[in-house]
Amino acid sequence: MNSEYACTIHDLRVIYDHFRLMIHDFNIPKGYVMGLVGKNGAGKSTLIRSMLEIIPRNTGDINILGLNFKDNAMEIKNRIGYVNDTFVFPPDANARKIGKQIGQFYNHFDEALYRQLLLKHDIDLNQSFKHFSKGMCAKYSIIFAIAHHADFLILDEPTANLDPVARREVLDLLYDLMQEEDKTILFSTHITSDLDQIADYITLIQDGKIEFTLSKDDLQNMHQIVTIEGEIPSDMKPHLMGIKSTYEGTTALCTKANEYKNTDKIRFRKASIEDLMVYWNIR
Amino acid sequence: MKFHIDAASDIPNYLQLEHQIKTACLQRKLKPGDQLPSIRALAKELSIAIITIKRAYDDLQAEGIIELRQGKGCFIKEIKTSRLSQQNQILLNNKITELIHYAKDIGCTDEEITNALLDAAHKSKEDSHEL
Repeated sequence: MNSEYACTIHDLRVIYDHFRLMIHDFNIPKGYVMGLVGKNGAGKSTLIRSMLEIIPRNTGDINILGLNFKDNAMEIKNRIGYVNDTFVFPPDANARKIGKQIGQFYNHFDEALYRQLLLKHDIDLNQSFKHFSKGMCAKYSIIFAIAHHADFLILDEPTANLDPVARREVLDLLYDLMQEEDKTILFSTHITSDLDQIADYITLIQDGKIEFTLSKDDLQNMHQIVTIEGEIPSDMKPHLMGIKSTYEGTTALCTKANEYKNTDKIRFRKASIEDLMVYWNIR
Repeated sequence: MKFHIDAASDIPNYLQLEHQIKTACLQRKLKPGDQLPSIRALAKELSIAIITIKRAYDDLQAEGIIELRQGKGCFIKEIKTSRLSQQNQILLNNKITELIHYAKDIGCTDEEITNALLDAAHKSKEDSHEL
């Protein structure tokens, strides 16, 4: 179990008055990018925060890189990097100071790698963080996590406020990190186009529950948007979600698209992750 | 050897890559012994998922078209041209079906489609003779 997964979660429950997170099983394969998608309020951040023991949970067995927080909190913190959409470093500090002052708390902080990445991404070691653009803040946070050789990077909306150019640069950073076989990324976002590119697996959360985890290939192979002229074939109907009437005919998400072929009256097109979110479970 | 994945295409990404590698083999742009990029490097270059490249490479390895040499990389194996021709026939049929749907959508008759195909084939033969 340990060598296959960067993280395993079993029977996780976080119960609030108005919301319940109930995760039976969620496993993040090592060496790949796991995308986590869902509407605002679906439970993505609650899942991540409870997984990292930032908020308490009612129940749940959680293993990160084969370790648990109860016995190995320090080692876990050394080996993971967590970045969300808030910048956590003091505005008056700069990259040089933070590298020296905070880097030393990590067993594996790599000063050379740190400087190399900052240089590559045009970040001035001496510039005060308060003068950083949002894009620079996001890149810096991720670079800091990479520089201490984190094996598991947890990103919660890291590109939320970024322009397309900055988002592209963050993606490049992540692709570079993934050149190493033993790095794992959990990437939670509502900007699904980023995941259309880099995500190897997609997990959809809805109302505090996981709807599915699928590989990118199974997703593209099995789930497509179908447009039907005339009657919906009865054998296809049980596999359709979000059926809508449009001027073209009927459109829906088909969850077994690999079993059908295009015909004169039935046309399939690839579903984006956004399509999945929009059509899923609407019957 | 440059590959191009069309994210907007209806064909799953991993299949597009497999088709392109097989076609390159048939066209002798890739020859036995040639090395393919590593899975992770190619994912970055094409801006697609690592698992997609892995799926394509795994499928091609199962078909005997490429081989993974431990510690060295991915290489094109000896290619049995008859098997690849079969694949190409399927690809061609898929493309033709797409084309016919498109032509019907814009209102062409069967005769117009056939004539257009023959004209285009004829012209392409002329072009290649001129070269």
